[in-house]
Amino acid sequence: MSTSIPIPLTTLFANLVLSVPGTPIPTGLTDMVLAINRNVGTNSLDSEPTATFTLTAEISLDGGATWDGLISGTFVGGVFRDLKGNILEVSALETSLYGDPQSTLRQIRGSFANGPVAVSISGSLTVS
Amino acid sequence: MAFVQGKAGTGSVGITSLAVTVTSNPTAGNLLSAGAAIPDTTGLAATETADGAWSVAINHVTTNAADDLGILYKANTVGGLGAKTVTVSWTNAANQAGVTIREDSGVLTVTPLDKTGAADATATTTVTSGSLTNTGSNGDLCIAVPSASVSTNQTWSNSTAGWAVDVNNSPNASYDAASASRYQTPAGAFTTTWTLSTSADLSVAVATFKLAPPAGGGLPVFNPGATWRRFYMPAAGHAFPGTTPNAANRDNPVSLTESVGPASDSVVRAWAGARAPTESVGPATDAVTRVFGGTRGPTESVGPASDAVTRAWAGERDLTESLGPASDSVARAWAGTRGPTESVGPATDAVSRALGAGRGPSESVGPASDSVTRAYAGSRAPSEAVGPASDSVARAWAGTRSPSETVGPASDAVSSQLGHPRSTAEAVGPASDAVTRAFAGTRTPTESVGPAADVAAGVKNAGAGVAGQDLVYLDGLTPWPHQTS
Repeated sequence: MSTSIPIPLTTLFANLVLSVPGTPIPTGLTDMVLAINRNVGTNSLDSEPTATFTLTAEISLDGGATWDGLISGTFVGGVFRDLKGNILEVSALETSLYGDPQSTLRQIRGSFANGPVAVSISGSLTVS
Repeated sequence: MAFVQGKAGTGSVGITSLAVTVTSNPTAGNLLSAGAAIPDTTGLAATETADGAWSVAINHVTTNAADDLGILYKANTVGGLGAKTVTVSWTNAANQAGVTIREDSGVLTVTPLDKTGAADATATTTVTSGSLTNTGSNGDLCIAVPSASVSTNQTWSNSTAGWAVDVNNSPNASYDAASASRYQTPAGAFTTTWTLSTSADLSVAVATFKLAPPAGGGLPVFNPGATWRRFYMPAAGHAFPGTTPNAANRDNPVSLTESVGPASDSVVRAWAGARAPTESVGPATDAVTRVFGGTRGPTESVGPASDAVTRAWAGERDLTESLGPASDSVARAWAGTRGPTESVGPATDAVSRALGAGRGPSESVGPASDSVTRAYAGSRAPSEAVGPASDSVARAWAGTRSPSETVGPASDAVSSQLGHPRSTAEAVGPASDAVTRAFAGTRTPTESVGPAADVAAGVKNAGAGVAGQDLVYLDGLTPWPHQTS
């Protein structure tokens, strides 16, 4: 059974970091997705082509005492379309979790580190 | 040799780099590699904090709609926490990106990359790499990564014999990424085929890495004193190529075809064995010492001798050896014969004339300087000039005066004791008391003598007297007591 931590619509000023707090990972789950909506708010990523930001997801195997990297990606603002011309509205990172899937000590957290341009975002951190 | 661990990470929409963290800290000495599937691999690079930048094994730009592919690697990783998170980056922001990180052991730690290849296929469910032939002496680790024009929610598989899919996150809503491998021992030709669960444009990239010798292995140490036995095991289904070995004949030679690759330049010539017909030796390098006692082969060549070649070398020069002109610093004491091509410039003034050898035709000597001593016993050359004798030339000089030499009028200091009659033209001034007439020569016509002084008036000349017998008188004076009469 998957679980999702919502990231409410937020406008981040330049160089600020939005953290998604640590959340226990239900047993038996093996994957995670950190997703950000690009076309929300007054300073959407689609409308800020010079914006840059970094998404990061981390995992803890000891109940949140220590944290280790899972995945991280650097992104840019602006409009992106698929081969059919459709605008792609979600930026995301996805990878598998590690550690014992049956452990109740595993936790996950995420962050959105903004660059030099203020942007508006919303999204979610989902474990499945 | 083994696949240690691997992980896939994917990103989408506007992404320019992706950092993927593997489960455990990599072990030092292992091979780390990354497969990257991105629409545009321009500027593709990988790094982690322990080892720094990685090398690109292959960067394949596809010819169809499938994503471009790259394989990057770091041999002999430092390992540890710093090598756990690998960041793969590229230049142009991508709509989707798939990265697979893997750690493998048993690979050469220095220059392990052997072969790379890639292939594209259009509107199909399978893509097969072109045939590659590995060269690793211990076999190769082969790694293959795929990409497709439909990159989400499809399943990758690879059922090629000998291959294992080590990393595979497909089907995946973000990106379908996978990596497969096989250990090919011994090295040889191979292909691999990826299959996607739907028809699309597909691509595959392959990189192979040479395996390290097995632990505890390596070349056997040859012990000349040991007794060596020959044992050959025929392949399954083949008869033994000779007499079946037993306790009695196990040392009998068995005919096998041995092949030896070309000798490398590093083969020492001291090797005493006979070369096989297939062995070749490149031209000798300049570093080959001439003290080598063997005979040069027909294919060996020697460049022109350098100036540093000492002339003391006793051997004969080869026809292809040349020597530049001798430098001025070549000692003339050199006893050998100069070659036709050797030239010597004019001798410098500093060349000592004491040199006993004959001067060459091209040698020239300038006029003797004034400081040349006349005591020099040799003959002057026609070009040597001598100025007029200076006044300081001693008149005691026994030679004959030249016509150009002049003597001024006799000075009063000329002695008056001249024993011969004065000539008519001679004028004698008043004799001074100090004048001695002992001058034995003849006066010239231009010499003049003034009137005799009073002190000479009493002198009478007895005419032709005989020395020791004639008596000379001085009027009014007492004869000299010691004169005879």
